[in-house]
Amino acid sequence: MRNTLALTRRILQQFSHDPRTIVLFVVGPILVLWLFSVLLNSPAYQPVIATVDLPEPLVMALQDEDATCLQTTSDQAAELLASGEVDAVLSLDGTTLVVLVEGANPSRTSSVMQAVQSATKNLALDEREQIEADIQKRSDEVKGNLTEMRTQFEEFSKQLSELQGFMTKMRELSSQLPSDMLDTLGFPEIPDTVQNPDIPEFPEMPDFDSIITEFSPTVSDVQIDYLHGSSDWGNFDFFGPVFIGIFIFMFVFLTSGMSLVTERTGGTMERLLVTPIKPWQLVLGFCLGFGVVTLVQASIVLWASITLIGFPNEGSLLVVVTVTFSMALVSLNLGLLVSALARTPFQIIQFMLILVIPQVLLSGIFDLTAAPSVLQILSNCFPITYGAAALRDIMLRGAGFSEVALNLGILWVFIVVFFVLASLSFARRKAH
Amino acid sequence: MLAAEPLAELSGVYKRFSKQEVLSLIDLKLFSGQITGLLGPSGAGKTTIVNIIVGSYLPTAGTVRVLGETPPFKNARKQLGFMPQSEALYLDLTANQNLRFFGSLYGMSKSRLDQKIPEVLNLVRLGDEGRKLVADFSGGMKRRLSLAIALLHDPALLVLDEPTIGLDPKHRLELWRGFRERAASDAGLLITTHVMDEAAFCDRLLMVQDGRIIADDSPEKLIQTTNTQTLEEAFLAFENQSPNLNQKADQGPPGEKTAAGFSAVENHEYNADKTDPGFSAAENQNQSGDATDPGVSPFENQNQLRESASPGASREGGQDA
Repeated sequence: MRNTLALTRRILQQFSHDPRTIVLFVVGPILVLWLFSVLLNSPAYQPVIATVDLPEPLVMALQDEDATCLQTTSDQAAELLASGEVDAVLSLDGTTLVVLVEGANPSRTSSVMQAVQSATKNLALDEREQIEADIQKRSDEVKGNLTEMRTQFEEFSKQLSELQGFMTKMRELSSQLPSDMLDTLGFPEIPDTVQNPDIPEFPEMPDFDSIITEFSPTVSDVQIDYLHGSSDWGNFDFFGPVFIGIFIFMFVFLTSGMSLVTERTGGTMERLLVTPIKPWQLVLGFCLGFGVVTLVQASIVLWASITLIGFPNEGSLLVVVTVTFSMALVSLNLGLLVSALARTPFQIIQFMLILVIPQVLLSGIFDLTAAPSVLQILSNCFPITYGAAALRDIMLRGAGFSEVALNLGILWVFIVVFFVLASLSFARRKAH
Repeated sequence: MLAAEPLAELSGVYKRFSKQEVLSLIDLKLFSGQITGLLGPSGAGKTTIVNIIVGSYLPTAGTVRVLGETPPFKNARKQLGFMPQSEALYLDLTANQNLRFFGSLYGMSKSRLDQKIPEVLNLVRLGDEGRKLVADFSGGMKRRLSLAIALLHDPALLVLDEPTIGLDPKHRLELWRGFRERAASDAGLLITTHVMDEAAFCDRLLMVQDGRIIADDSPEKLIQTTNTQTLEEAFLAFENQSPNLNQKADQGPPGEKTAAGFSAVENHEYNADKTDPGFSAAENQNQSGDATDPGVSPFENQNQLRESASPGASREGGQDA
């Protein structure tokens, strides 16, 4: 054990003599993570669009979508598009809206499409509102007319009753007069009664509001509640935990990978392998030495990421540090294994491209549910996947030790496997 | 005494890297109290022999026994001091930290390190430099520190690969004084060199060419048996009468491929010497029998440095080889 600890102490002494590396070791990941947070939190791109003879409402709708609209002739528009000053040209062909996009930059294309779609949708909504308003207005008019007719009819009916009363009175009066007098006077014969016509049943006006709602059962309002997180969480928050793990993994891989190559190029490996130290003691010594450094690094980087940069953390910092540190140990042992195989620092970089970058790509940055099954299987073979999943569970969903125990356990299996492989490759190297 | 048990013994050792034969039929024995030199041009196979003795390489064929063990070595490593040809120091540590680290790997306790570190630093004339970063050391200081590391744990067998390379004559002599002191305290030393004047300081010299030992005797006897004036001439004499030479002149172990000869200047001298009419092939043939049959001539002409070693040791070593 003494020689293992001697190696550990030596690594710490070397770090203490090398403040630049210490600073880079801590500042590097923090800088990258900060940059990452700024990029993912920055507002969306606002497209610049040239419009050729578009109706004013459409242009206004586009402007409402934060698109910058330049009203131009078609020739000017073509020029602007070619020179890259606008992202798209909009014109009308009959009733079809023609969108010509620059097309090289998919994110700009999609922001143009988003603006156009939102604007046309809003226009359609406006039109619909107009129609609805018309219907409402006419229905109100009809209602008013009907009411008036009913009133007039009632008035008429009342007057008719009055007339009937008057006629009844007249009949009574005329009956009291002698009939020949009536003839002489030429008094007209009074009809018996005036038939009081029935007031027709006026239909009740239907309620137009309910008709409109019935035709288009749109959801008028949406309320969103969050099981985890809040409406403030964006892409950055989703990717953040994964990236913390990834960056620490990469930094540790480079450091441990380079360490043994440096021993080899500096000739000290030649001397080390002649000493009585056993291969596993050598690897363990490196693990302990770099482990201490990595633990300090991971703690500082995590603290800065959460408190200074604003990475979300729903769980306990202790659990986060444990998972991150375990990922770092996987990386450390993988680095030592690779270091035992590589001969030059350049080969370490190449090994990183082969062994680390695919892990990063398949670690959960991209949703793999629809990806070829080979990639899904590969993803399950990579340690970063488990670390990233655990970090997400803790930092986004507030998981504790028990909930991430499986992922943590798998990470430790990787640690042991890589440790044994690194020790074996040293043993092979020790005498050949 | 010494005749009983050699510190290290190689018999019939072959070493091959892929299909390239680097060593063929190496037989050698190293004894305590004796400085054995491995003399030969770059690429001759000296470092490969050294690497087999310290356990870094396994022989393709033949037997190796070092400090009573066959490879892979376990306890033997503790008794082995090794100074590789390269610097092999941590430049970002102080001299003391380098010594303490390697000493701990040999299982030395803190108190023993506290006692031994100043001792070995004084021995290599770095007594006041222990707290300095090795990065600030001159080339000579680094070589001397490297030697101090090899000496630190009082190894029974010291294997030094080109220990004086790149050193000025003053430091070179100082180091040789140190080697002599170790031999006097009964350690066995194996030192590789391609410098002739240094080879003369050894008790016994193994001349290596193209992966073979072409001569094995004390420097004086090598000169005497070849009837030459210098070790260079003696080396050439053995080289000329040895079979298969010059055919494989460019071959050597991977680490030594860069130079095929001693050095440009030295090669030039040898080529000039080869045309020396005073040194005939017939003479070589006659003398080769004597040279490879050690112990015939009496031990003579000890130089000043060799005086301090036990003469008996070197004589018996020569006889055993």
